[in-house]
Amino acid sequence: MNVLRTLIVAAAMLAAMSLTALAAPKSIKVATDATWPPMEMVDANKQIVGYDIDFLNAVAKEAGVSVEFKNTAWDGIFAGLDSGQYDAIISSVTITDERKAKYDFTDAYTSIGQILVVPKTDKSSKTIADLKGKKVGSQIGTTGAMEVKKVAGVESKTYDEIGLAFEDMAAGRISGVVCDEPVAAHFALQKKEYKEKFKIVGKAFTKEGYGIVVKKGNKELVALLNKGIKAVKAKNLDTKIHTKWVK
Amino acid sequence: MSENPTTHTPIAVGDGAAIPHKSDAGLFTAWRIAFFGSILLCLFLAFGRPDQYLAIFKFIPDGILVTFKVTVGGILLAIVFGLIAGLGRISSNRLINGAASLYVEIIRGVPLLVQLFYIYYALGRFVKIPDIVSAIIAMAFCYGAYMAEIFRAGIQSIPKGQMEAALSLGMSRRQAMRQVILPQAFKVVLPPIGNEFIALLKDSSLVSILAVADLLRRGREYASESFNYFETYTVIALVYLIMTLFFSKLISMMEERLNEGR
Amino acid sequence: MKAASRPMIEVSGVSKFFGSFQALSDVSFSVQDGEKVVIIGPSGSGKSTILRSINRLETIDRGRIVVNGMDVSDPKTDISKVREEIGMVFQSFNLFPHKTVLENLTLAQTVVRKRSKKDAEEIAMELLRKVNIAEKAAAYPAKLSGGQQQRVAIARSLAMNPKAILFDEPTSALDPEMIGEVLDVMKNLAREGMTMVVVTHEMGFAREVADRVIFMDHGRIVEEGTPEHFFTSATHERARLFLSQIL
Repeated sequence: MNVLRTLIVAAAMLAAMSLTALAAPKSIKVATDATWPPMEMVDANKQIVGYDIDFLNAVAKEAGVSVEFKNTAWDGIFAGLDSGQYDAIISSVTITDERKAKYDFTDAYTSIGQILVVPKTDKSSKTIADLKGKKVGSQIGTTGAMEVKKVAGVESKTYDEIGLAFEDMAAGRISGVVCDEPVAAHFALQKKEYKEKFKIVGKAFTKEGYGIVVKKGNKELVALLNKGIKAVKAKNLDTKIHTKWVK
Repeated sequence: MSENPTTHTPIAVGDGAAIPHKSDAGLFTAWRIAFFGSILLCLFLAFGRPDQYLAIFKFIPDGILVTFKVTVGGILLAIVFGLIAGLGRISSNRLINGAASLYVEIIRGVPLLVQLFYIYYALGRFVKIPDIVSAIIAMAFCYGAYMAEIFRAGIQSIPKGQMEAALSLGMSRRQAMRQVILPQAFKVVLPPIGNEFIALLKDSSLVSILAVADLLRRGREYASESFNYFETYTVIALVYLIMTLFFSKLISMMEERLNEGR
Repeated sequence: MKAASRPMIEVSGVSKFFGSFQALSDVSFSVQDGEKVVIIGPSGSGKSTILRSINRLETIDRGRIVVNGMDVSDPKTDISKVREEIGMVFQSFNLFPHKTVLENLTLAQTVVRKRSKKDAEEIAMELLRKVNIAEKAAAYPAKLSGGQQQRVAIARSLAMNPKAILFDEPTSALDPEMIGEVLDVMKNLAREGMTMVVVTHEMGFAREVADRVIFMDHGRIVEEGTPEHFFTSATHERARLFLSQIL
């Protein structure tokens, strides 16, 4: 009697599990570090907004899934993907070989580059190498941080959030900040308190593509998202989103 | 024999690592197992599985040094803040007493993490000082408030007759404090200060949010680029453990020495 | 000089309150240079309070206390100057436990009297020999018996060359077999002409040493006179009752 009941329950559970596995994911959980304006940030209404958010929503619509965003600190955002707390990351993640070795990426959905921001009082520096003997800030674990570390003689200082790096530069503790082009533009050109103090120098010195990150081996989700990205690009929706967020 | 006037009521233990005294056999053995076990484990990881772990051990040494600097600098400055505020708390001058009490109450009512952010960025608005110095000041400002209460309790644990005897010999209040009360109070406050030191060593990991390149920050930087989160935090935890165990042993040896001196 | 004819200690019309409790009511007496005055009375009679008021360990609410020409009751008086000249010996000895016996004697000499370490130590050793405890000079107080500690405390007080010494129940905390050694030291001091004010329950000492006995009860001086008068023909009933209980 008892054995029979256990068997039935087990069979039912197995059936349910195989059914969900077969069905396409209806809803995906996506992590983003919403401290990276204008790509991803929290607005005055405590909503996660930005380029990436609009973009992924458009992709999801084309792919026929719904998205639930989860605001996650950048430091450890990959660890959360490892432990299965969410299915994907869209957070201005540059596709690099190191990252590709551990995670799967969709096709690049936009291309940007790293750029240097310095105080207006600095008249001479054009590249990171000009800041030898000084401290240059970036966000921990970003391609910007890796670029700074590549330059010998420059002391790299990493921050949990890029905003804290700009605040530290305002306080005079560091001499430059390296980050993604659109983010640099947001802080140095648009933000009221920093507009007077900072300037962007030179041109972007890397060529990078942003991709959506999923767990290694999740081919199904990559294919689904790539399908969506293609559709969005075909309809030119990404240009509209770009104009909306990156001025 | 008359009652020994030098016995003071001990001050309750804080949240630092338990300090191993020889008299507590269980804790003493546990200390040895934990300390030497951690060192052995570190050696095993570094040389037994070098491809995963050796790079981590090579990446973090300057972070250990920064953690050490923040802790030692923090505790020394906190003792200064704590002594001043502790003396203020027992001052009969209402203005000084009020200011010291306000400091203690405000600091104890705000989380350390918030204070660190606040003091670090507030200081940055007005003065240009290196980040590590700001971090030390922020830590010390917070711990000074707790230290003030330890000093206050320590000073008040010295029998009233000591101050009276010193004053009766013609010493000023300040001389009596320096020559008679504080030397005795220091002996009473040493164990709780030792506990604060260990607690501060652990709390110093919070300065990593201020972009101070301490042990934890170095670990986070390594993990965020190598994605070896498990391996990195295993090493970070072991190194913190070795440091706290080492210092708690050092403190217990200092205490034993002081007690032998009598 | 006029001051020479003034008493060493002059207490006039002193009252003190602890909250609503009146500890002292209109207490007046004086102590001449070289005089030995013993104050007795039941516990809570105010005898310790008036003694402690003489060097301002207690402040008074009404009245005046003049010591060696200095007005103790005037808040503007530098009380340290008064205390330098008036020694005090406590019931609980109050030796400094973190200092050796020798250091207990030299501390105030060097800090207050500004004597050299060598001079201070010479004076200290001489006084330790005088109170018969020179062999313990290097010991810490915790290693000494109560009687030994109190003799050191008397020597510590003498090291300041005081013009008078106040004794606040100096033998009350001692085991009976040690009382004698302390009283002997005090008797020697008396013979040498030290001005002494002694609060005590030792009636034998009072009878042998005192020039004058003051009996206090409920914060008032009830009876005052020579020991002969006091012990044989006290006029006040309460004094007689006290004597009958204690003798």
